[in-house]
Order: sequence, then C-alpha cells, then structure tokens
Amino acid sequence: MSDPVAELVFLIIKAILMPVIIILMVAFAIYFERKFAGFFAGRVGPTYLGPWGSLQSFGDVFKLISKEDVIPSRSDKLVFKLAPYIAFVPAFLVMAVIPFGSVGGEANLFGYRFDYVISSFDTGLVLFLAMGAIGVYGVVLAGWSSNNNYSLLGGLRAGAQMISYELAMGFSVAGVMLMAGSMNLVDIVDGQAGAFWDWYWIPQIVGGVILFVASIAELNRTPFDLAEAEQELVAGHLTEYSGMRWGMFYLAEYVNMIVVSAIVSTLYLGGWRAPFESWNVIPGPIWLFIKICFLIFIYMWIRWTIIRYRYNQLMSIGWKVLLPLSIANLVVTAIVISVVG
Amino acid sequence: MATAHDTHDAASGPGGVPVHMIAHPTPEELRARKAAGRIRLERNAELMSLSMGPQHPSMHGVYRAELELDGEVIVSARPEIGNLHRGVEKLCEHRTYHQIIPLTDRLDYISSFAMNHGFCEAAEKLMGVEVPARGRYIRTLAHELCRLSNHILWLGTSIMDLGTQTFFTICFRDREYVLDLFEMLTGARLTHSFGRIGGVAKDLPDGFDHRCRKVIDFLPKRLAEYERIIKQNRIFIKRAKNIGIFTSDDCYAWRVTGPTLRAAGVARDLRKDEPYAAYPEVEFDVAVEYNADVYDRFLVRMREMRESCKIIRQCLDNLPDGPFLAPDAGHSLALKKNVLHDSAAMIQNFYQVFQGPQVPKGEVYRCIEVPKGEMGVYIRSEGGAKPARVRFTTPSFYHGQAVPALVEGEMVADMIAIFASVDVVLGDCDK
Amino acid sequence: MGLVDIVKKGAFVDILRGMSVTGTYFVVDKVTVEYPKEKLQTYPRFRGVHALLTDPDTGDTKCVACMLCATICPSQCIKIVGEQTPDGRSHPAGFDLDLSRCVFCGLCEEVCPEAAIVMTRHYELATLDKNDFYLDKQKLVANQVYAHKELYAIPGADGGATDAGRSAAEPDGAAGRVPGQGAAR
Repeated sequence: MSDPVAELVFLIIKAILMPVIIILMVAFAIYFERKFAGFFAGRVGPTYLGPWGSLQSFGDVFKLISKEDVIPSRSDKLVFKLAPYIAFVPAFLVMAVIPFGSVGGEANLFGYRFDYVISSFDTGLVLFLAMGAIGVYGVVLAGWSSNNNYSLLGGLRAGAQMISYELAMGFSVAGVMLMAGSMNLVDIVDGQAGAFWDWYWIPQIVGGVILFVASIAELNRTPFDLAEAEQELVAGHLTEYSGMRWGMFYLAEYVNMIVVSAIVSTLYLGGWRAPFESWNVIPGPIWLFIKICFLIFIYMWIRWTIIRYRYNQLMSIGWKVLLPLSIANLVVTAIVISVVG
Repeated sequence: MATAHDTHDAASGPGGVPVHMIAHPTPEELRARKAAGRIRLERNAELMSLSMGPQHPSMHGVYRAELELDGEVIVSARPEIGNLHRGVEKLCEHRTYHQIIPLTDRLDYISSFAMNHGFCEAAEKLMGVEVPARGRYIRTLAHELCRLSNHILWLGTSIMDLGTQTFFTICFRDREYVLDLFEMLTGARLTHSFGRIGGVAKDLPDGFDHRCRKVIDFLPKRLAEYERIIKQNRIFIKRAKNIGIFTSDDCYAWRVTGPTLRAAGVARDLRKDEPYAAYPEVEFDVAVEYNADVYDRFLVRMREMRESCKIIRQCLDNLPDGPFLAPDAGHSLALKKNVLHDSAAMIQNFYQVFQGPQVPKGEVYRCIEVPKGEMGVYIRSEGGAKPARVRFTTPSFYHGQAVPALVEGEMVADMIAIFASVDVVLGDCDK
Repeated sequence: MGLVDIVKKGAFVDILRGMSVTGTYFVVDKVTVEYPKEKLQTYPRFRGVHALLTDPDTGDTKCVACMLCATICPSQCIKIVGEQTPDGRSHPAGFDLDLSRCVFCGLCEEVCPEAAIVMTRHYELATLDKNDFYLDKQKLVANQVYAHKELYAIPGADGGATDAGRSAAEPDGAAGRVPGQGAAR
C-alpha cells in the first residue's frame, strides 16, 4: 500500500471508531450521572440492570425507542424532527479535530504513519466555537417548532443564555491561542510539552476557570439549567418531545459534555500528554480519556451539589462578570507575551 | 442579647460590621427594600394568564394559583384551594372525641402529633381534664420531634424547588431517623394518632431514650453540614436575600404566624407566650430574625431545629415518673394492661367507647404553636359525646391566603422560592 | 467588599465548601436498603394488618364480640355478628374488617378487653384483587402467623409494648437504623 491509500484506510477506521466510542462513552456517562447522583446523596443509584446497574442506559434506550412518537399536529413537522439532530451532530464534528495522540513524526504502525487525529485542522478552535453556535439553533428551533407558547419562551431563553456565554468562551480560548501561537489544536497540545507544570492551566488559570464556568452554561447544566428545570413554570423547549426524540436531546447534552471536556483538557490540561515525562509510555488516548473522565466528574459533582440561578442573575453573570474578566485575561496575556516573548 | 445572631458569622453585615451592632431594619426600610427590588411594569403590556395548576412539581400539594404575568413579573395572583378538602370538620361532628384523634392526624400530615396535641389540649380544656406530668413531657417530646421532622422536610423540599435534588434526598435520609423514632414510639411513621384525651397513648418503649439521644446528638452535626452546603452559597444568597419581604404589618394583616412572623422581627411563640404541656419547665430560645425575607425564614427554621434538639434532650433528662394518661374515668380511655384484668377499667373503657366522654355544654378555643405556625382549635359542645362543631384554624390556610400579598410584584422564578418559604401543606390548608 | 471577600468569591470558596460535603457523602456508606432483597424489620408497636388471636385452650378466637372495636373504629370498617356458643361463651359468628376503609389508627387494638384483635407487623398488603382487602374472620385468624410474640403475652401485655413488651428483644435489622451504625441490613 502506498502512503495516500494507507492514510485513507486509517482515516476511514478513525472516522468509524470515533463516533462509536463517543456513543459508548455517552451511554456510560448517563449511567454514571445517575450513579453519582445517588452517591452524592448517600444512596446507591441504579443497581438492577447488569452488574452494579451498568447496563441501565441500554435499558433506557430500549424503553425510549418503544415509546409512542408524539408530534404536535400543528407544529412545523420538518423542523420539529430536524431540531434534535441539529443539536446532536455538530459536537461530533468538533471531535474530528481533537488530537488524542501524537501527530506527525515517523512511521509507527506497520511502517506507515498513524496520526492520532482525524483532521489536523488549522482553525480547530474556531470550529469549536462555531459548532457551539450551531448547537444553539437546535435548541431554539425545538422551542419554536413545538407550536407551544411556553416552549417558545423556554427555547428563546435557553438560546439567549447559550449565546451570551459563548462570548466569554471565545475570549478565554483566545488567550490560549495567543500562548500557543496557533488555532490548530494539534499545535496547542504540542506547545504544552513537558510535565504538568508546563501545561497552560497555570498561566491561563483565569481563562480556564472562565471557560469551565461558561461551558456549564453552554451545556445547560446546573447551576445554569433554567431551560430544563421542571420546577420552573415556563416549560422548557423540550416539552413536546417524547420518546427517542427527547432521547436525542438528552444524548446531545452528554455528547456536548464529552466534547467540551475534551476541549478543556486539550487547551489547558495538556491533551494527550502525561503529567510526567516518563509516563508517556502509556499511550496518549488513555491520558485524554482520564482527563475527560475527571472533568466530567467535576461537572457532575457541581450539578448535584448546588442550586440554580434565576434567569436574570444568570444573564448578568455572563455579561457583567465573565465577559469583562475574559477580555481582561486576553489583554493581560497579550501584554505579557509581547513583553516576555 | 445577641442570641438570635449566633448563627451569623461575625462579618456578615455590610462592610464587614458584626451584625449585632447594626440596628435592625424597620418595617419602612423593609418596604423600601421590597420596592427597590421590584421591576418596573410596562403600562400597556398585555398580561399573560398562567395557571399554576393543582399538579406541579414544585407546589406543595394540590394548590392552584391563577397568575397574570407581565413578562416575568406577577401582576396578580389568585389562589384556589380546596382540592384536598375532605370535610374533616364535618366528619368530626359525627364522631366522639376519641375517634376524632385519627382524623386530626391527616390535617398537617407531616407533623401529625402536633395536630393531635392541639385537639387534645382544646378538648381537655373543655372537659377540665388535667394531664399528668409524665404525659405532658412525653407530649412535648413528641411535638418537638414533629417539629424536627417538619422542618427537615421543609428544608429538603424548599431547596429542591430552588434547583437541586441532592439536598432533598439527604434531608429525607436524615428525616428517616426521626420517623424511625416515631415508629418506635407510636407505631406509625406518619399518622401517629398518639395523643389521647388526658395524655398520650403509650409510654416510652425500652431503648427509646438511648436511641433518641443518639439521634438528637447526631442531627445538629447534619444541620451544620446542610448549612455548609447552602448557607454561604452565593447562589442561595442571591436567590433568597431580600426576596419575598413580608413585614410584620403584612403578617398581622394576613394572620401569618410561625417562622414567617418570627423572621419579620416579632418574637411571638406560643410556647413562650401561652405555655402548655411541659414548655414552662424547659429552657429554650425563640429564634427571631429581622429581615423578613426568604433567607431569614431559613435561618429561623434552622435555629428552631437546634432548639428542638435542646428541648428533647431536656425532656429526656427530666422525665418525671407517674402515669402518662390521666386516670380520669369520665374522660379518658383506660390503660390496656388494667383493662385486661381489672373490671373497673373495663367498665371505664366500655363507657368511653359506647357513651363517650362526659363533656359539659360550652365552647372552647385553644391555640398552640405547631411547626408551621399557630393552630387554633375551637370546639363547641352541646353536652353529648360528639362535638357540635369543631373548627381547626390551621396555619397553612392563612399562609396560602396570603400568597397574593407575598408574590405580587415579584418575578415568577421567585414565586417558587417564596411560596416554599412560607411552608404550605395542603392537608393543613384544605382540611 | 474587602480583598479577602473578592479572593474568596473568585476561588469559589463557598461553592467548594458545599461540594466538600457532598464529596464526603460520596465516599461514606450509603443508606439505601435494597428492598425487596433486604427488608427492614419494623418495631413491635408497628400498626400493620390486623389479626384475631386464638386462645390455645379452647381453640376458638379470644374475641367475645363485645363490639368495642366496631364502635370505636373511626371509619366504621368492622362488622361483627355475635352468637352464643353451646358452652355459654359469646363469640363472633362473623367478623368482617374492610381493610380499604381502615386507617390503621390502632384504636381497635387499644380498646379490646381480651387482647383478641391485634395489629401485626405485616405491611406488604399489595394485591391485584380488591376482594383481598375484605378480611373475614377466617383471614383474620389466619393472620395470626404475623403476630409477634409480644402480642401474645397476656396478663400485663397490651398489644404493643408496655410491660411484657418492654423486655422484648430489639427487632432484628432495626439496630442499624441509628446514625453512626451505617446502613441497615
């Protein structure tokens, strides 16, 4: 086989494996969410299906598939059916640009070079932000197409929330971009070579925390989960969705969570790098997986501990606190880099 | 002097000044704060009508409120109750005084014994029965356990309304210990039916003292953990401070009593003002706060839980010997162990069951401090075994009625928090 | 706000404090009792389903059809038809208890002068057939198997726990339901 053919073969393998692995991770993320929800409250979560209840998600999927598909009669049916996919698919695109191992260098597999990334995209960061923006469409269109007053309001509120926090996210990742000198995620990870004190989380601590907090708002998780809260009167954008369509939104939330965790670990925690130089014998994908799991654990810990913000407080935090801080972070980073070099 | 502020940290006032050196806000200041937090309404906005229907995950029971919203702001709120009305007062007219006690369980079903206690106090006043010392102490003990159970449940549901389910689960986990004590003492976890005319139904069982002490030693540590989670939490402070201000004047106007009134600065607690049972003989403090908002109601209830633990400990320490049920042949049931071998007791029982207690003609009103506020029981008797009219003035009825005054002008998202903070239970409200 | 407060806010100290509490709950013993694999034993006084006790000497139920329980019942769910046995005793020919009306208040058990009707600890009464809720004399007598020994101790006992019941052993499984002893078995 010649090199281009080998590359094509590897690309096809990666492109098929990646979504499968992500979906499996999502299934277990849902299971762990429920397990941790129990553990943080002093109770055990699901225990019935499978050893320690680990097959619970699969049982849930079967249940959701077997439900009646209810579409409101006067809704915009095409948009109604399309909205879950608009929320769901963009996240996978971002996974295509995240490196989960070393890229470039000599041949490492049967004499051919296997790059641990699907696409070494030169503007990977922008792709991340853009896909986040497209995800907003899914939410807003779901609310609008339901032909329900309260769904529309809920969808608009969720959409406004997600847009406001994207700005803060954009400015914080710009700080990393300045430090690495490139928007390519592969270069960003390469720029964090060394042990864990060389990673970007130390110089960019403010940006990192802002990105983390803003990502909670992007994901519509507590404390920013007004859109999905059942105790609020204005029903969320998901009201009219039942069965597997609702399941798709639910899956979309977890895929987004995995993707955002991957991005945060790539930008700030060194991506596929080991904390110590000598530990790099353990392959890169394992380290990335460990970091993603750690961040997901933190997301879940936060969700099951604190209460949610009211809507206007949520918006004011996004605009009045996070955005100025992230701009300040960018300015300080720029000054320091131009002075120190 | 600064006892009401023990739960505050030293630097919790504005500018880091210790709280006990600040003058308490006057009702005018509180009203000004309330007005400052209001959002200006648009003059010609079209109002959206929203029915917070009887079934809603956040409503505590089947309470319905018709809201008219201008955007996020509630312009008018009209409550509608009665979905849980079971005609308890009418049922009471066809049952003897002993049979009414299980009915009172179902009023505020979360603190059942407190309802039994209220009715028994009123009936005893009418009949002129004196409860022996041990009976009074056991009543106080069980009543304070009810208060603990009620406040822990209130805490769990109220914080769940604000957003987290974990808190609900951990509160219920700890309430299990209290419910276990009730099961040990009365035989049922929720509908105790433990009060009797003249005392209580049964004595403390073996091992109860030991177990109860373990629980009340353990619970304050748990309360400290709850406070660690929620009290300084910035989100809770944002959602609870200066929200739902209900000054003492408002409370008087709407007959709102209990922790809501005490959070508005009025130190009214019937356990101190018109003592009954063993309250004159136990020492405890009345929890008072001065800002009349949701946060202060939370502080008041946390403080009350700690005081309840104190009272229970004192009751256990000082429990007098003697009968727990008045040996009053005309008004009380006889003790079972006597009935089994003593014919006089058996005859007393037969008389009480078939003829009922000897009740003079007259009427009585007796008010006690149940966990939610002040409950009054009015009994009018025409001389028979069955009362002619029983009226329960339960606190949730008035709190539910006060909802318009509480929420009009507030945002919808705050309505949930405010409604949760005044603690309405529909069994109490609808009877 | 002083500098300390700003740093505390920025470092999310209050939120981390809360998270530390749930973090401890994460690692300690869980309180779940996995019903129906594990069941908690109820206390002696627990008011479960009723039973009519039989006198071991005569083999007949101890009930003398005095109608005290039927009269005191707040829900009027007990119907007794009394009759005289050939030896001159009074006993119920029919004793019907409508469980769907019963509120499990325990007054019937309390007033019975013969300690004949007792409330056992059995609470798993769910059934698919509504007729199972109408307990006749036969079913009530059969329920005796659920009556724990304290309910049998006659003179001095009251179908719960005062004298004889005071020395009753702690119900197994209930020992775990005190804080600090971990999850109940």
